[in-house]
Amino acid sequence: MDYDVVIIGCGIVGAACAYELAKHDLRVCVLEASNDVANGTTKANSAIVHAGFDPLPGTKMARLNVRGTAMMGELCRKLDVPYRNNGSLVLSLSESDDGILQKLYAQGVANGVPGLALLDRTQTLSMEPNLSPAVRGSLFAPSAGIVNPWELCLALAETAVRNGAELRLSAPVTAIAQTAGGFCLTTPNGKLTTRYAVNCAGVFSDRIAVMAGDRSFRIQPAKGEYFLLDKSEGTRVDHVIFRCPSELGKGVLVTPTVHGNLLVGPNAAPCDADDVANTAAGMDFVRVSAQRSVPGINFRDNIRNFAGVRANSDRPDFIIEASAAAPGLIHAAGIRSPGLSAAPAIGLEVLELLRQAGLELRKKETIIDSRKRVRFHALSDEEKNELIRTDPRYGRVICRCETVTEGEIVACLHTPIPPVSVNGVKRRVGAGMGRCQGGFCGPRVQEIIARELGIDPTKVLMDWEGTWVLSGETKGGTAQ
Amino acid sequence: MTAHELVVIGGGPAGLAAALAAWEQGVRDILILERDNQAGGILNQCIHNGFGLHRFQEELTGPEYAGRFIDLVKQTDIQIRTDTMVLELTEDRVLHTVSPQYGYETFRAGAVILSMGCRERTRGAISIPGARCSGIFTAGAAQRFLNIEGYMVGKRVVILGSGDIGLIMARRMTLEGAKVLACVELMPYSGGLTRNIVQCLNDFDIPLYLSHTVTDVRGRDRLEQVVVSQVDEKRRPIPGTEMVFDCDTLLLSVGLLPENELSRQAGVEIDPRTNGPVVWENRECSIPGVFACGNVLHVHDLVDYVSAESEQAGKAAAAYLRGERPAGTEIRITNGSGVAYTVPQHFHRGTDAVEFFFRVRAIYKNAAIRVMDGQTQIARFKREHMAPGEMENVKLPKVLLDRVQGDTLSVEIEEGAQ
Amino acid sequence: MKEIICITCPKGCHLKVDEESYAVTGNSCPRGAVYGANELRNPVRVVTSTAVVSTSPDKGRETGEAGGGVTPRRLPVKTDRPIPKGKMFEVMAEIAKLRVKPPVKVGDVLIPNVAGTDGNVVATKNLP
Repeated sequence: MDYDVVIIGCGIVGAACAYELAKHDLRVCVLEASNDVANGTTKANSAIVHAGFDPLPGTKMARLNVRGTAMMGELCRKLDVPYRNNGSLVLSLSESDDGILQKLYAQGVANGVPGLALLDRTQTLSMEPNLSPAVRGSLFAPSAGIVNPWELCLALAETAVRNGAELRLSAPVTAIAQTAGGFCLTTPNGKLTTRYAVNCAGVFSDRIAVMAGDRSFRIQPAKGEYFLLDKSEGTRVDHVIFRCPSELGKGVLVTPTVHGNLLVGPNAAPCDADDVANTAAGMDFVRVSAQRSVPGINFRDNIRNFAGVRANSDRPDFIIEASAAAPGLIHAAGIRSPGLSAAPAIGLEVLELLRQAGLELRKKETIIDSRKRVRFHALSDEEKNELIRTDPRYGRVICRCETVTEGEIVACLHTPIPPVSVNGVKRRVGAGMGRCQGGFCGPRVQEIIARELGIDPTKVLMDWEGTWVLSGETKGGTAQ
Repeated sequence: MTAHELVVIGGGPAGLAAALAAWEQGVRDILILERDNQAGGILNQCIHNGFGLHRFQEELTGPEYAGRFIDLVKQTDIQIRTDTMVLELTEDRVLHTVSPQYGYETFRAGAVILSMGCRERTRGAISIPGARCSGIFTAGAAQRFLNIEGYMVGKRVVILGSGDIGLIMARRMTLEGAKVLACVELMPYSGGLTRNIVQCLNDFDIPLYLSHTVTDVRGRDRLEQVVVSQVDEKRRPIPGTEMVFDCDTLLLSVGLLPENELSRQAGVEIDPRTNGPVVWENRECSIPGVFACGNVLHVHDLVDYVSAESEQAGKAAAAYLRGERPAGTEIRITNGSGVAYTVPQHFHRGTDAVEFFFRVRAIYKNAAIRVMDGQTQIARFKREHMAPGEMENVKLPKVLLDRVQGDTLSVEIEEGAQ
Repeated sequence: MKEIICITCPKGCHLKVDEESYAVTGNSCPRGAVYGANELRNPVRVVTSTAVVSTSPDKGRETGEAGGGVTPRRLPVKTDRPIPKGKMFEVMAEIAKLRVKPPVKVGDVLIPNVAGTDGNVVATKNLP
């Protein structure tokens, strides 16, 4: 056997599993279909750490959400991931909403959500003066927060790699065969064998299950579309602002992001697993809906739209269980909202399921459990000067909107999981995330990637495989 | 902290002209801070010709136009710091900067000139629906790739927006071997100069679709198709008018925005119509000793006007440093019918001639520009042709300005004037 | 009759020019008539482009500089006078073959009498 455990998929769930497993004396490998981690649902969602009053009491979703949210602050501190415990408000805008708030409150108490409080109109507006005057009251959840989901995923995966886990990018699993005491997995670059496998394949997790002969669930992908607004709109609200949930989902939320922007969305519409296109109808719905809770949002300051695909399933709860059809395969599938919040706890849950399935877990004697990266804009004047003295590249601002320096870009290209695309750099250091959306820095980032990775600039991608940027050189240079 | 008499933020055409004017007025301690690794600003990538017809009475390319100013600056003791980014400007004119060579520094300036230029509106700003594939560029980013780095961004191109950069790129991409399939404009008229429509589109038989927009973008990885639809008079797409273009590249030329993050941070009052600072006739902002010129003030279509405006700002900064302060009460300019904005937004009573720059809201034929003091007409200028894509200007001599009784002047368009 | 737009001033008159007599209608000033006739008789354009700079393409990379490093990869060039419109692509093909060695000064002739047009391709930027 090549490995003790192979994790299929390196989104937030796969990374959380890898992070926990790599603390143990195990041969762990993570297979990711895309050319970067966090490149599916993890990079395109509401980036909310939910308090945990939405799931029905007694479900895995309820238990893991509350537990994951409780872990989030310490985990983000250790791994240097932007996180803010800003709390959330669910608004009531009608009489029937009042009843829903009561129900959510009771549910939250049953789930063990700390500090919940029902606020009246005056209390609500004093906390958030820009809310609609039609607001009648709210449910305040002080434990809710916001996080950078792709950096959390990256930090978990990076830490796992530094603790000895192996990560293979651009390695989609195309076939799974059960062997004596394990599995043989096929990828485009060859086969590998493992005693256990963990299915964290997100919107594709039902296809992985089928490969292993397990047809016990189906993923029903649902798209959500978003607006990301300029930092000039980032203080429009301070808390995560939810509407009352309905059959259609949690509704359109309005929230600041950890980067200081304003995030507005999502809608919900069935879609194909890889369909991340924005639609005029979806964007209109989000715009109109958000303005019912926060009327003053200036959508002229929008800097980007995106869409994410939720890994909803045909079951009402997370599917975190040992496969009955394929012993040794653990599913962590159907991880819809609040999957991001629950992810740290899902890692522990999967660890426990593997132990129950017979995997011996011996803690390594020494492990790395911290991470630190330079965030130039957040340094003091003296620290900035000191850093530039040691490496002048920290004095060259490449992304002027977000103040990201060449030093930071170069550093991220030499981390345990180096990016291979312009957006990979963006997700790691924020270059191109600002109001000009890479219009100024894109060409320079492209060049730095080529230089540092020793590849031709025409080979640098925008994001995943196939997203080429340059077709070739002018004047008889190399052609695409 | 080091002190300088005059600090100029941005070494593009505006900053260079302003610094030179201040030098000619006797200011001897001038520092230009430029974030790129060379002075010249956006002109470095504007390799096409057509610059300088007003200023030098000849057709220059962007690099040549910038080069003339850089050569003049080199003959002075004006200091240019390249590779230097201004991170913060405070209300009392302290600048925080960072550069590889000097690290993190602070400067105190006797006067500051804002000349940071503008940036392009992006896909996000106009929320184009469709796939999140690669192959969608702002025209200026594609221009930098092509003209500075020497790379093509694609082979089959659709251009959204008929602003000048988009038109110029249509020609550039065609000459470099790409096929430009269409230029698509939301408005019923082009946003660019007529000369560019003719020489960049018509010369190469590139169709211009007015009153059309991009309604879908397709392609899982790289762009594969762009869907273009006609729009009604309210700019809503008309179902059934869709045209599908097979292409790998979509260039966006959908407007420019002055880059005033530093100005806002310092507390400079911004005009929501120009997205630039509110200025007096000498281009002084709401903070005394801070002046603005060029595209950071309002988006220009001709660099010649940028140079002229910047010289005004440079001269005014020199006067400020000499301790001269404009006297006279405030007269505000309001925008009458048909006028989108005016620069300056106010001036001092008793000042010399004032030249107003503005843009109109629609295309006018045989119209007139009227300057009104309440119900009294102060001046009237006939124009055979005006368009939003072309900046207008009128100059009011002192003798006319002295007639103003009220505290506001209105600039308006009179239609159907004979 | 050929229909063209006059670019002599921003007004943009729609001219109709007779292909044989070069008579112009639709112009609102005499300059339009001259432009219209010339545009049909012998339309000319200035071509602007870039030329490959033939230093090591990796030079910028060694110095660790973003944005092309010390030596840029391309030098902007133009024809020093308008050349016949029909020769634009021929001129482009000539410029594509060009490899420029620094130093170069603005106005230096890089290709004399390009494509037999009497125009020269000249540098529009200094290259130290």
